[in-house]
Amino acid sequence: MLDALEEEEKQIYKASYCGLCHQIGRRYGFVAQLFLSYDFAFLAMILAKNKQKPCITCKRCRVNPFRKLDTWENDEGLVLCADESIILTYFKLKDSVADEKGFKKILPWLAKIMLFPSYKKAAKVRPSFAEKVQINLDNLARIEKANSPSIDQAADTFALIVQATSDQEGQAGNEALNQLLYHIGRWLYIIDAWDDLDEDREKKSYNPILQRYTDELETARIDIKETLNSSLGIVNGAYAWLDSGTWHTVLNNVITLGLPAVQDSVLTGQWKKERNRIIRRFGNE
Amino acid sequence: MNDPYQVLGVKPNASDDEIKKAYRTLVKQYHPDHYQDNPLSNLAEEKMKEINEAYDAIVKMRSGGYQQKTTYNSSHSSTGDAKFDKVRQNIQAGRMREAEQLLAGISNRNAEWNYLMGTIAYSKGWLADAKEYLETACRMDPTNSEYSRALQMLQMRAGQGSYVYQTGGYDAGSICAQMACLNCLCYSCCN
Repeated sequence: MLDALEEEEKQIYKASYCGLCHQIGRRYGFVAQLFLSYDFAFLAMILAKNKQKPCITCKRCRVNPFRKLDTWENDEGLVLCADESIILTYFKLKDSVADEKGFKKILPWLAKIMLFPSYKKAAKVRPSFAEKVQINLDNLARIEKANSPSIDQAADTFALIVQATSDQEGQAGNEALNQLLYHIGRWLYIIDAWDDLDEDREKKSYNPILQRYTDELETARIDIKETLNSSLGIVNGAYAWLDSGTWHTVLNNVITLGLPAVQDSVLTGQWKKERNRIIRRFGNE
Repeated sequence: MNDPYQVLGVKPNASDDEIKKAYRTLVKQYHPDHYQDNPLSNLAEEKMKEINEAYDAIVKMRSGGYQQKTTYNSSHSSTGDAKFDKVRQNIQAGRMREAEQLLAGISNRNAEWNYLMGTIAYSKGWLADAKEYLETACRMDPTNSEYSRALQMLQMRAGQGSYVYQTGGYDAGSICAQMACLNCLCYSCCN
């Protein structure tokens, strides 16, 4: 049963990824497509407008023109995600340029310049989202400068960015989606902070977990696990209120199985070894 | 806001599916598309807003935990302090910022203060802070069942997050799920 789901899920996931890639290519050109990642394909499925009968056609891959692949098309949620992925990627590159030192700055700096024309266009189409990202990143910079030990305060900035991707968070009737996105964002920030503990300790970079717990690693692990589970509990609760249609099998798998499994792997320190094995395996399939 | 269950025409003990069904039926009935060029369009719009707010309130109560339901139903503090009553009224009305500002001005950081701060933190999604406040409230007043119920609810929610994984029969070969998360970690915006 799980094997059958896996193959079907992979095809659906890839259709979403290919759809997003085509959308970005259509709106922003080939360079912008180079920055696409699978997490945006996941976001696109959450933001999909036509969930019951998504339009999936067979299209030629832009990167490998000898391949024709199932591609998701004609959905406002896909367009929204395409625009927002450019904005988020641009800010991520900007952040990397600010954080890296010496020669390590060069690559993200070059990538940022390459993506800038696409970012300008996307920010013009989604000014409200671009503004929210900027405001929350500025808030995070202030929190980092103040070396805040509040994990919630730091995570809140990223959670609000993810929540803002729905483009509807101020509207009534969207509580379930708001909570889902907020707590996915919160979970992502905290799990990333845990994953970067060693690196941040070495580089003396800001990390709210280090600020809060210093060397009390075991206490931190217990508390962080509990707070991550709390967010996942809310994600599960919120997801139950959403109608995901065709995307349900993939989204349900990621939310109920994938996120907890990755959490466990990161908290036990296994993630860094697992990551390379998964990349190799997925690349061969 | 009126009782959200009454607005949707369901009983408070209705199942989640019954609530979703009632919501969708009402949305279809009052959707703006059905009222274009209709003199009743303004009324329909107000009704849609009421329906959406009621649905949001129920979703928040049921997916976000017991605290929401507690503060929705109770408007009197356990200490009888009028300042805390005002905070509770603001929380009940969804005015979290005002509630937080009122609490910031109260110097008596007793159990009630910590409980209300925990409730506000929880509503914002600041779960680690919520846990600390609620634990402090329970420590200061171990006999207060409202505080202990709220903490239990938070801990139960934490249990639900891990519960699904433990019983899901997870197969490490579910590459799809792991790839999604892999890239979430690699490209998380702020790191």
